[in-house]
Amino acid sequence: MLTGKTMRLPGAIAVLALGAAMPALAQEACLGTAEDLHLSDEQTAEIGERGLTFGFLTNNISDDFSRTLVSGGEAHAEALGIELIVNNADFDANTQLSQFDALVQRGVDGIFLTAVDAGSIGQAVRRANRDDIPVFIVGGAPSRGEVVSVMNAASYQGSFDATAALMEHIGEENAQIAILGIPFALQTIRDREMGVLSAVGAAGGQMISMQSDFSQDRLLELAQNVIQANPDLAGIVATWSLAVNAATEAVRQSGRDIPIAGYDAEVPGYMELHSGDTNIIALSGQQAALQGRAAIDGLAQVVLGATLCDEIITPNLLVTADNYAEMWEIQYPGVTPPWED
Amino acid sequence: MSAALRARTADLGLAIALIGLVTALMVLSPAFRDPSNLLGIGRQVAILGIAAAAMTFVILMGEIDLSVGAVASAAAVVTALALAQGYGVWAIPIAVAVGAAFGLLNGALVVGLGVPAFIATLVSFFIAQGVALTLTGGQTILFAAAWFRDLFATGVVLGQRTAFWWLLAVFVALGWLLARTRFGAQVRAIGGDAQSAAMLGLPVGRVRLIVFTMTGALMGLVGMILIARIGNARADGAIGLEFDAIAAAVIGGTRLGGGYGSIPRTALGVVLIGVLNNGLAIMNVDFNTQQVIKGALVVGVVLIDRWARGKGGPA
Repeated sequence: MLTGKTMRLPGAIAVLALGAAMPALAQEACLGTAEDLHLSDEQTAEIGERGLTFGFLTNNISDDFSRTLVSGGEAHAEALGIELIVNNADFDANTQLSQFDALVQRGVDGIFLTAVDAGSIGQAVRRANRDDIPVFIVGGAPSRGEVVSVMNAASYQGSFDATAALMEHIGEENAQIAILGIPFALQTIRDREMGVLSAVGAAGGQMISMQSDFSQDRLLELAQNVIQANPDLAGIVATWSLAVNAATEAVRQSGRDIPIAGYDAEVPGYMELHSGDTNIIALSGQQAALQGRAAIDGLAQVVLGATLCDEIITPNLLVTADNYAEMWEIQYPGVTPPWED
Repeated sequence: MSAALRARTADLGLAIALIGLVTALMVLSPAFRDPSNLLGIGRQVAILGIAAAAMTFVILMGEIDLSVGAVASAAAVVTALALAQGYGVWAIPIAVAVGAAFGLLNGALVVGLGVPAFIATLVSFFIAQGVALTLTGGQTILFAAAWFRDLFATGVVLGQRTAFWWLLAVFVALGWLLARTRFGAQVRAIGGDAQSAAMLGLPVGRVRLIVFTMTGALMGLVGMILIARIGNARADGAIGLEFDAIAAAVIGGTRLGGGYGSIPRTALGVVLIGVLNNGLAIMNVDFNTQQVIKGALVVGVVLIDRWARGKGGPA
């Protein structure tokens, strides 16, 4: 027969165990992928009836990723009957702060942003928190304030996959590889470089050069210099769109047969693959349109009471000469391929 | 040290620094001393060189032009669109006209309305950037015109890419214009003391208008070389070029207050930057360190120049 004391002990243990397990259970119950965020028909109808307004702040609108992200968000918001206020900060952190505050002042139902500077947006996020406005961010969490989730492309895996395809194509030990990148000190950029280093290491290759710049013309110079300086260069990995263009052109002008892998699959890269005469082996395409849609879905889910996981990763597409047409349809839904223009 | 010796040191210092840098890089890197690499530097500095030569005129006149990168980008975008839409050879005058139009706007704002050049060219910067972004919608503009690319960048004449020959032509033409013509003397005089120049009856306004318009037109040429080199055009293709051009002119000894400088010295500054860029990349020095080294170089050259010219000199 159990005494009162012995009966209370297992009960206390059970309560403690439950308490310890709660965060894990909560995280398990959260929505953690773009697919998880999809609204059901009932949810779609409910959102339509609420007459919601979301803010959508981008750090710029001059690159393919941002433009496609906004297009994806706008198209989906319209389909759901959500008013979307889109602002572009043109890489100015102060402008973005003003835009953010204006949205808070207006009392929007949610804010999605690609931050110019995640460090400086924190105070504004706290103001949104005070007004119970959910904030969903791409890239990295702000230093202050709470966001409902951080969305990221699969930077590491995408780079790894594209580089692995390159290394498989090269197919030799100690292959000399050069990285052509961008000098942003962002986690996503570091992840891309880590993905490249891991894939090169796993294939027994060696990294002989890492150069970066913001300018396409300067990247072309760097690629030319790296090719010139390394007669045994076996491959180049370009970790952003302009580096892909620069590497492609530099290899072409050098007259050498140096294969290329790249992070970012944009129009010039697709056209290269379509040409059938290219040194590009594989490109990792970020699904910006999917992220734009997921941004709207995510905020809508939060409005309906759901919890998003701390980080939501959207998978990248591995684009090659064999599948580029199919990948284009996925990466740029509804957009006519450039080779059909 | 006497003032004359100091001035002589300033004149030769840059050439000595360049020879020292090239020698050091040749010793340190076999790839650097490869003749094809040294030839490659010539084509790589074409864009910077033309912008720096044009900027030398502007700075000599005591002005500044912050719009050159954006104007070159806008001209590049318009040219690429013209080529993509089949305008063929007409794309060339279109590019020059776009650049010249922005230059004329700069000149009109400075001369006609008395707007400081810093503000006037900043206005043009924003307008040109806006035009380029509107025309591209943020997209990369592709074009297929092999003849155009060969003519302005990728073709080979006498063993060197055409981009280099355009640079050489601009250096020779502007060097002659500055050193051998009345117009060049007027530019220097205005930069030395605009009020005195006006009192002496020099056409200050007209010279300023011509220099800004000429700079814009040359940015049209820069835009063409830019897209010919890479085969596409972007709204931000040459953004930041203004700072590199100013740096090259200053490294070449052009006095920021106006009145002193020359095209050959600017050419030395351009080559120094080109050699440094090339050497640092070949030696796999990372971007941030490269920026620090280039910044230190600008400061060092300016300090040496000030010292060499002393109080009584033209510095």
